[in-house]
Amino acid sequence: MFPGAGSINLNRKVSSSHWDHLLESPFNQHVLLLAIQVVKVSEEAFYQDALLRLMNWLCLPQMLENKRTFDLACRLLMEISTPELFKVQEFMHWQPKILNHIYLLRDQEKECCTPLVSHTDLQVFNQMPHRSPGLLNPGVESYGGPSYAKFRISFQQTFRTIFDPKLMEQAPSAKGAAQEKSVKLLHSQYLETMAIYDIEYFQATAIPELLLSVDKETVLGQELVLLGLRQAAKVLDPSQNFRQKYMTVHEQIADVFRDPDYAAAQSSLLDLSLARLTNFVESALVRIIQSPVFSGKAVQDTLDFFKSSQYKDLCSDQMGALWPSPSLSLIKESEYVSKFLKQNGFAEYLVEINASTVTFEDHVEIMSHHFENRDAFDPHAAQAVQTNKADGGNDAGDGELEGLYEEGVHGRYDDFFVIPNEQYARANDEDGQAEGAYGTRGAGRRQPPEYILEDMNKTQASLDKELGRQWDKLKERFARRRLMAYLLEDRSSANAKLARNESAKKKSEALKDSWLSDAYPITEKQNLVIYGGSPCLKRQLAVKLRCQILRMLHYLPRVFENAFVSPSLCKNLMLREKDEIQELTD
Amino acid sequence: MTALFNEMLRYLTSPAVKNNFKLVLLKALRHLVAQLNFRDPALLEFNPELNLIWQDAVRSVYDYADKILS
Repeated sequence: MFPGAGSINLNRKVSSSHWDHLLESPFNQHVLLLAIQVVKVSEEAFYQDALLRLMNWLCLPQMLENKRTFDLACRLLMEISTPELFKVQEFMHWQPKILNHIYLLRDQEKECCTPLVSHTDLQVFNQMPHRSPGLLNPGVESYGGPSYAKFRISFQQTFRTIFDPKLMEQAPSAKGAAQEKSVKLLHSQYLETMAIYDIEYFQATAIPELLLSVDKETVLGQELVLLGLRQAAKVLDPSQNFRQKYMTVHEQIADVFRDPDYAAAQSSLLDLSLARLTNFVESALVRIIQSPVFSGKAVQDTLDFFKSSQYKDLCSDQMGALWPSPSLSLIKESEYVSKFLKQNGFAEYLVEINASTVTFEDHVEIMSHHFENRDAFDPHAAQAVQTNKADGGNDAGDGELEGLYEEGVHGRYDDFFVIPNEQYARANDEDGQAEGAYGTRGAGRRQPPEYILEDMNKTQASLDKELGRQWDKLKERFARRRLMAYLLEDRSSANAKLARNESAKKKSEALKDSWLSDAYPITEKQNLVIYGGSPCLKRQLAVKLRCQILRMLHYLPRVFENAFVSPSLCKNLMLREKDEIQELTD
Repeated sequence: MTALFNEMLRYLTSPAVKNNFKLVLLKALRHLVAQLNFRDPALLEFNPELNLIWQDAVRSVYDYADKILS
């Protein structure tokens, strides 16, 4: 397969049928990946020779330019450039030193770069257990070290190929899935590496190009903007500590050069680049906020919702047991939202409400104190009964527990579902019952209609199955949401059973006016819609974009001040900023 | 190690073995190669012969890949 060694020629012409037998058979692709992996772990002499042949045969640059092979090339590029890591075993007393970065040395004479590998005479890298051709790295300038396999593909050369919109959109995916995203792991990894090794190019060209694609109102455009923002956030967010990562790598390189000025120069370069990047991202954010992607109406709606009295009603203590935080389908991270709004003086009470959430456990405790009968409201009692039965254990014990808890009567934590939902309560009002359907406060416990009980018990059974006997906060949250979704579902078929009496008709009419009916479009598949997020890719992206922007506003406060300038001015600002950066860099 | 690899490769090249099974084997092999990194200095210090065994095994896998892809 791999032709004779010698020098590498990455630019040789190959016909597109060169990769045919790879594309046609996934088996061959696996074999190729295996070969790459073997080359990566083999000893030095073999590694150099085999890698050279492999790269000559693959012609990765040509592969990346071909629509048919783009996807495969991305995967291979990833496979080749990711270092092998140790399998760390806890019982061993040694700690392998794992460096996640790949180094590439540039040979001035031969115009090529070589990876720094474990067996070089450089002390720093003696401990490095892995190596890689480092295809993605532009390399370290002016170091006449030993050359091994010789490649050089710089960021400048590859950026436009890797982010070529035509290739990204039309590249057939390996599994043939139509919904697969065009932005892949490779792209974010590529940008991360770029930020470390070539921050100038990163801030001057890569991020501006990605963020300027906000003007294209396509899915790909949005994906690119999101990618750009995420990568910019990784660099700018103080909590990500990018400076430390950057300086760690470059101090190591400085050690190799034995050049004390190198680290200082890199440090000042980093400062400069970060300042420019901050400026650019700020103006870009203002522009994005004003673009249709992040439409002003959506923001206004959100703010209105938080200010409304409806919101306060929803988050009463009663509600808290079932619905601890407002479930915004628009913006999922309510914590961020509330912090952000509080910071900007929009709302005072949001954080407090989040803090006063009554958890499931709290609720059980409160109820059991209230009724002074712990077992009756112990969420695990039913399971204890079941377990005892399954074990064929103590019959007398069974009898006691059964006396305390009867599934049919109690309907399993029936007091827990304090639902301000007329859907279930109305029938009792008609009957002159002051209490809710489930009789939460009084001793007058009344069995809810059969259809509710049946469904409820089914839901409870499946929830119990999922939750297990250990209390798990995350699982409980998940269960709550599903339960909420369940309660929001349209029960039209169930209602049909009750359609005989008049109260049911009144009930369904009243339902239209209740707060739940306008909260969500109530359909059969409500579960999926609420929990899984919107199935529309574009909408999902818009939500993600909003979350990302809200997060970034924390450390880019100036955006908020400028957010109300006119859109055209904003675009000009952004373009001017880009030009300035480029002038400065040139 | 080499014996294990050779056995796996024998299955992979055999026409009697079904393709689905081959694919599973291949994935297992990749996993094995990735996980068992015998260039690990601590392990080599422990037993230098492992390196030779490992190289041998790795070469046989590489030869196999070369043969399949050519």
